[in-house]
Amino acid sequence: MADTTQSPDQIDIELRSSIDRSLRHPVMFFFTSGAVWLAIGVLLGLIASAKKHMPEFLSGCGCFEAGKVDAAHMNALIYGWGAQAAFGVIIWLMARLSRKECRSSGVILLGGHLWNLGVMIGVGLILAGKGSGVPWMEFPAFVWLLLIPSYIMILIWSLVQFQIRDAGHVYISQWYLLAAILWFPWIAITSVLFVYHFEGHPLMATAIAAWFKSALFLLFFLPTALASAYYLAPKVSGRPVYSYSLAIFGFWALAVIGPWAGMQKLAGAPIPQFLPYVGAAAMILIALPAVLVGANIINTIRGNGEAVAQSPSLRFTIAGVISFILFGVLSAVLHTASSLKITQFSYTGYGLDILTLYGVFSFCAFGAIYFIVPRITRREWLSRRFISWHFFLSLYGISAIVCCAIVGGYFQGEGIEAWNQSFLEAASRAGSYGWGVTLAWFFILISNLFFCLHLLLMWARLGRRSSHPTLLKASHAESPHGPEGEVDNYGTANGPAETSAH
Amino acid sequence: MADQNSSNTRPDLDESINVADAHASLKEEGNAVAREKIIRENGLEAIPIWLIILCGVFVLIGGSVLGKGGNFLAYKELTKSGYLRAEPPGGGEVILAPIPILEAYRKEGAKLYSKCAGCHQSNGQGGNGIPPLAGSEWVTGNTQQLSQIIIHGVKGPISVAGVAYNGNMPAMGDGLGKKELAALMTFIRTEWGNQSSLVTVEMAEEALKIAQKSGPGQKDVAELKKDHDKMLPGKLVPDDTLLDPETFEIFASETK
Amino acid sequence: MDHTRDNPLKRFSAFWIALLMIGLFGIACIILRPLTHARQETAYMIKGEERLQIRDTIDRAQKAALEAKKIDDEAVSSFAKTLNKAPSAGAMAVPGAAK
Repeated sequence: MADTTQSPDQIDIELRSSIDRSLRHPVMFFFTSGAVWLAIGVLLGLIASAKKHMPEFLSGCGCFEAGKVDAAHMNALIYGWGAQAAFGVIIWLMARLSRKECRSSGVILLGGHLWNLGVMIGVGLILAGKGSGVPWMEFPAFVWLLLIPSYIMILIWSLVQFQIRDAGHVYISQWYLLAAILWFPWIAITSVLFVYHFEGHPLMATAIAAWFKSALFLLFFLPTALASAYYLAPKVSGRPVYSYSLAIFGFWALAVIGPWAGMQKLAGAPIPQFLPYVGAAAMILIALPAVLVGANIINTIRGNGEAVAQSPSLRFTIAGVISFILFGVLSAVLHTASSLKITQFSYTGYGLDILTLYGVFSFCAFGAIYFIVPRITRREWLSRRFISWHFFLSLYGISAIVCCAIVGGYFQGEGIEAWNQSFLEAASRAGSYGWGVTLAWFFILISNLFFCLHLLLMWARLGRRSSHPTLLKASHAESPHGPEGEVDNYGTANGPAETSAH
Repeated sequence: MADQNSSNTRPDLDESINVADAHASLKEEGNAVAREKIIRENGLEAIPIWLIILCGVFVLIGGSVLGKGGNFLAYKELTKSGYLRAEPPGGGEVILAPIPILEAYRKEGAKLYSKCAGCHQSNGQGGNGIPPLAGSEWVTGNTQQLSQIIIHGVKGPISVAGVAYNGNMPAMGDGLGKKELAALMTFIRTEWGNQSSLVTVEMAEEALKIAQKSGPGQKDVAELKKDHDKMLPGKLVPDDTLLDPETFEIFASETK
Repeated sequence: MDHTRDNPLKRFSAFWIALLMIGLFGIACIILRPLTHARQETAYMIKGEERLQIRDTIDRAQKAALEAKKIDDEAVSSFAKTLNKAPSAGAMAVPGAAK
């Protein structure tokens, strides 16, 4: 077999270290503030879910009414956690793949603070009742004037780095990163202009908002997650990507199909009637990139189950990829005309949204974070148990939410279709499933508290100084990394640092 | 070695750190970065056939959905051509949505009131020797005497809301079945600021029986006060009970 | 320094090209706006004109018929006089007064 991997030489190590060093402040900032927003978003999700079946929960507090807390939950999750995790992954990955140090960390950090400011103002205003009511765009219109420029401040440098990369190979991940960086401003600028600023037909604004909701995942979060997966799967398992042509096919399938999805949410609305059908067809065809990319990555790591079991980053990434396959198949089943009729106004949409945002994107982002943070802090993760609990609680939580929401939504939809019954009867059919979703959010909250704590400890430079990575199984005597040893990063005046590893 | 170890316990605070050496240590083995491998992209496997077939299945499903969508990019068509509302599931019998009892009676009663509006005016104020219905204690008081007034009419002196009248109201009971009587009485008892209880079909049925028994001819105040100064027998139902809008039967939903 | 892709000119141009591409999305929206935002006459607006004219005529007629002065003189002022008249001693019952 041709030599597909080789040991790094000194130049590579130095280059990687200097890239990691140059990016350490912005990337750690994005990951830690993202993790805090994740905890906030999940807590709000718990409250929002409780409000659906227990409306008197926290009813004394005006800001926790169901509409406000639901919107705040989604927006905190998307713009607070999702966008910032994506930014951290994109800037680090693009720098590494283009082999260029980042010279603009200060500007990126400033952009990150502006983004956080915008999200804080936005979520605060939503809870105060000033949300705009447009799904996934509930921030008042002026907040976007903060968000879009800060996005440009953060990610334009990655585009520059791609342009000045050393000539030669363009990695698969780089296609996805480039696509994500350019697609987000397209969908954001278009949607914000047409929904808030161009005074057009209100139904057009509704349709464009529905398109934005779908495109935000398919054209920004998903490519970022796939870029990370295409990087980590070969990297950690030590084998090359299974099939280059499959990768090309998968990428272009997503690029061609993704932008058409979204309007299926408005089936039955007085908009041109081909639009919902096109949206539904696109959502069915999303199964294509799902199975193509899934087959590619699973085949890459097939036979190397040891790596998946041991490495936290690979385990999370594979969980994310499997979630993507699951999403593709579910989407194909749930968007045929007979299913959509039943699930259109029900819990099912929420279940699919959480599957995409948490199951696909967040799991891949966790995998990337568990890989990147040791490299930029030069410490290893403190506790494999924290990582294990994070993984399993999140996995159980997300499976429970997806099952409960989709099945509960189906029954709820059947109740709505029984048109001589009152709406309350139909909604109460999903009551016990609502309890399941709330419980699942509680587990996810616990898991993310572990994650947040762990990440903050690493940020405070309290990680393990070790030559061994933190693996999910207890290490045994013979490890390919050699005997475990302390890494002394600084040394003393007496001489260069010594390590007890050979 | 021992004193190196002890000074290593807090290397971040050690004043004797040599920065150049510290930076040199970035290149040391044992670093996470040093563990990484270089990957050359060698994946030249062909796309598996089963995968292409699976994709084909999804394309077929998606295509069939797209095909139902009519003409592509036809922005002027807001509904599918030939669209008809589907038959209700479970056969041809159309079940109308149930409505609350007060609303149902008032709607029906409003329609029936049009023949009373000729004298009592559409605002219930009466005038020209005709007593008002708004604020009238005969309307808001006991239902049995009100029912007899409507069915048989009333003549002779009568005091309504503190004003004396001496007129002649013809019998209006012709064509009033129990449903219509209940609706009409409920309407006048809850309109124009009157806030009294509603009259159910059951009560109206009793009223018709009593009217039958007491014989034809207009009533006068003395007889009304002696025989009929009470509420009609019958169970009162809450205002928001659901009714079938056609038959005015109380609607019991199938699931509980 | 040999002429690799990483030189200041390339960085500068890459930055501005990227900014231009992002700005192009906004410009494209602005250019396409007239194609999507044609003002359409709806039946409601056509009927509405007629309706608003009738409404206007009625409003003016009513305003002319509303003789504010007459109301003021006949109703308000006389009522105000009645209110302001001191109550006569015979009409009031003063508790505890001798009969």
